[in-house]
This record gives sequence, C-alpha cells and structure tokens, in this order.
Amino acid sequence: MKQSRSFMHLILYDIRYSFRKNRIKWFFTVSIQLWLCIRSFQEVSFYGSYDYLSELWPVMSGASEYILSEDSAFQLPACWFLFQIFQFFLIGFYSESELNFGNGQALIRTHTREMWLASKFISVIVNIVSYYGCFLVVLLIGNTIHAGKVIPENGMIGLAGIPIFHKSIWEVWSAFIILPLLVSVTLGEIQVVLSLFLDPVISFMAVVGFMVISVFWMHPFLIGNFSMLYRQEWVSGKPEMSVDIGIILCFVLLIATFTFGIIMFRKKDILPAE
Amino acid sequence: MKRYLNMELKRAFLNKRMVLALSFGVLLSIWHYLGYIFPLRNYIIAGAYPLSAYNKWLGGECYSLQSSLFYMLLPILCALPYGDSWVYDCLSSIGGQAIIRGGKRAFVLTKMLVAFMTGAVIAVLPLLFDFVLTSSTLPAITPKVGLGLSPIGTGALLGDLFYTHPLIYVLIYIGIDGLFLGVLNTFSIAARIFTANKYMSLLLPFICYMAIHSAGTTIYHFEICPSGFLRPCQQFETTWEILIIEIMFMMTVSLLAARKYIREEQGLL
Repeated sequence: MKQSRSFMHLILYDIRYSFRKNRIKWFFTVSIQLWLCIRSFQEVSFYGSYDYLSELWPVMSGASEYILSEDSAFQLPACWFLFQIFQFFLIGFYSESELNFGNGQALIRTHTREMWLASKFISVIVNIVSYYGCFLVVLLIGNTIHAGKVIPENGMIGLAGIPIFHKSIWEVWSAFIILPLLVSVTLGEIQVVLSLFLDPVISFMAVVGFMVISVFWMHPFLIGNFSMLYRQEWVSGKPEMSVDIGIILCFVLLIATFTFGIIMFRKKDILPAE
Repeated sequence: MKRYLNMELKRAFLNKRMVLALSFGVLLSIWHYLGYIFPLRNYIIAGAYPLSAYNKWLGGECYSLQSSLFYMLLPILCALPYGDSWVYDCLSSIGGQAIIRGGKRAFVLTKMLVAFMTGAVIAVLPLLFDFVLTSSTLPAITPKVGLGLSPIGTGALLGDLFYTHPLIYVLIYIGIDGLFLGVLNTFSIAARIFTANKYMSLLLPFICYMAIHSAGTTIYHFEICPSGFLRPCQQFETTWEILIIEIMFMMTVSLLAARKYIREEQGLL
C-alpha cells in the first residue's frame, strides 16, 4: 500500500516536472503545431471542402514508398518529419537529467529502481499523448472555425484521393492517430532507455537516424513506417504493413524495451562519472 | 591566448567524441562505398561507358540513404566533441580559472575558434575520405553536360565549374561545407547565452539547421535549406546571396553572443 502510494507520488512528480522543465519547449511545440496546421489548411483550401481527415493528411501522411534509382532524389516528407522529430526532442532529455542533475533525489526516495524507470516511461507516454492531443485540438479549432466536417462527405480524402469507404470510425481513428501515437510512444521509450545508457544526444541522433531510415526503406520492422499513412496497408496495399501488425509490433517492442530497460537499469552505476 | 588555444585544441580533437563523430562519418562512407561503388567494378571492367567518380561519391548524388543521413545528422556530429565545453567549464569552474589567467576576450574567442575548427574538420574529413575512396574505384572523368548523368545543372551554384574543372568544384564545395558547418557549430558555444543545459548547447546547431530545413521545405523555398544546398550534388539549388547571407547571419549571432559575454560584468559564471 505504502509502495503503491509512493509510486503514484512519483508518477505525479514526473509528469509535473517533465512539463515544468520543458515549458519553453512546449511553447515551441504549440508554435510548430500551429504552423503545421496553417500549412495543412492552406493545402486543404485548394480542394474547397474542409474536413478533419483531409486536414490531418499533410502532416500524418509521410511519403509513399521510395523507389531507389540513379535519377531519383531522396527527400524527407517535411511536415511529417518535423512533427515526429520535435516530440523526440521534447521528451528525450528529462529522464537522464533527472537522474544526473537532480542529485538522484527522486530515485533515492522511490526505494526501487524499477518504479523510478516505470514512472519515467509513464511520463513519456503522458507527454506524447499530450503532444498529439495538443495538435488534434489546434487542428480541431481550425476545423471548427472553417465550419469543416470530421469525415469527408464523399468518403474520399481531399488531398490524396484515397477512398475511406467501408471503414468504421474506429478503423479510421486507429490508422490516423492510434498507430502513429503508438509508434511515437515506442520510439520515445526506446530513446529514454538509450539515453540512460548512452548519451541523450546520441540517443536522439539514433532516433532521428531511425526515422530517416524508415522513410528510405519500407519494412514493418522499421516501425517509423507505420506512422506514415502512405505506408499503411489500406493505402499502400502491402499486407505486411497492416494496422494490426503495426500495433502488435509496437506492443512487443514496448514490452521488450521495458524489460530490457529494467534489467539494465538494475545493474547501472548511477553515480555520475565525468 | 596561444597556450590556451593549444590546450583547447587538444581538448577538442583528442577525445572519444571526436573519434566517434569521425568514425560515424567514415563508416557511412564505407557503407556507401560497399553499397553503391564497389558493385560497379565489373561494369567498368566490362568496358561500358565509364561512370564518373564525381557523380557517384557521397556528396555527388542525392539518392542514397547514407548521403541523406550524413547531411541530416552532420550538425549534431560537428557539435559532439566540443559543443558542451563552455557549459562544462562554467559548471566545473575551469572557465573562471581561464578568465583570470588569460582574460575574458581570449577565452571566448578561443572557444569560438575551436568550435569552428572542430565543426569544419568533422564536416570535411569524411567527405574527403569518401571522395578518395570512390576515386580509387571509379575514374575521375569530367562530367558532360548533355548526358544527364549528373544531378547538377549548369545554372546551379558553380555549375559551369563542375563541367569544366570538377575537382576544383568538389574541393571548393567541400570547403563551403566546412565553412558553413564550422560557423554553424559556433552556435553550440553561443548557446550559453540562452541556456546552461549542455544538451541544448549540443543540439542548438541542429535545431537551427532543422528550423531552416523545415521552414524551407514546408513553404517550398528549398533554396534556403542547408540540408539540400550543402550537398555538392545540390539537391536544392541556391544562390550566392542566400549562402552568404546565411553564413553572415550565423557569424553575426555568434559574435554578438561573444561580445555580450565579454562585456558582461559577471562573465560566464
């Protein structure tokens, strides 16, 4: 009972402080998301009708499969890349700084390292959900101002002409939000674990590199692919890129990351070495 | 100042992070060589029209993953060995010692100079290594304008030079990369003006680089994106004006930050 209460306190502490320490980053987050929304509305405006899915498309769509040839030029999808990378910049440094620069107070008071790490994982989830939530709210406000709809009236996404007939709200929601969110959470957790054992800057670099590789190669194990709507099965037609496989892979990776993180963190020498 | 400069140079160049940054660039180059250049040897032996090293090396093409990764992560690599040194100096009081012995101006300018040098070296060495490695397999044939084998247009920056003296073009372009990334890397030192967080110091050059990249690509003004125009293949064509303005702007910001420190009553602590 006492332990669960102290765990709850720790979670609340981490959530509160991860937001408080990142106040300036959150200010830039909202600015960037506002910018992305403006760009998104500018693109949608060409098609006359405003709807939520079409507005989400420019940011969440990513890029279609890259075909390597000597005449091609590899280019990252700008809006998707900016949206994805900034969240890793937002969450990547709190855990390590909390361990090394907070004199380890929270860790000492927690009694167990497992709880400390679990609390950090939960704070990452809360931060990423807030990041997505913030974007959806900003977009929804814009949509409401334009008196737009949620689902396009003709069942086609305005920008890309992708049909969404015979899809339930849950399927649409999973493809557009749940799966990209899950991918972000998984990569965020991996980044946090890496940042505790490597340098946080190197772990950030690794995640950025991973996202670039995901755009270059279309493969289910490069889970960054699942956060791009163009790569998902219902658009690309590749069965291995289905939403279900994406969700399963993300959960497997999440569990593996958590287990590996706990095992390694138990053995970690937490005294800072400079 | 000379003694302090020597000390800082040793500190910047003889550390694990410098080895890591250079190794990363060199490994990308070797990966690129094994993936794209080495398989071409049979093609050359068969006597087909020889492909030029100028169109195939890491900086000379825009289609490979290695090239994109290198130019995307370059600002972080450049800042890795020395970017957080000022923050560390402040936290560990080395900065205070150095200022007492050598003066604030010498301290700040040395930091800026060494940051510039580390950035330039990390940007230039892997590119030179890759060019030499590629040239060891492919012939350095002067590219022809009409064949369409090269991504560089004659209207591009130094485009005419590329089709007449490609080696000079490559060397000048690598020099431009070194200059740009060296100046950009001084931001990691100038970051001390905003933050005492060492990670922010390390990442500030990357943040600025990405900010310009994101702004340019989302408003379709690709010519301002250094991630594209710094590549010798000129994925995004730019103009001398834009290049010079960006470099001058970065230099001004860094020098203003340095000036602010020098004039500050409390120095850096």
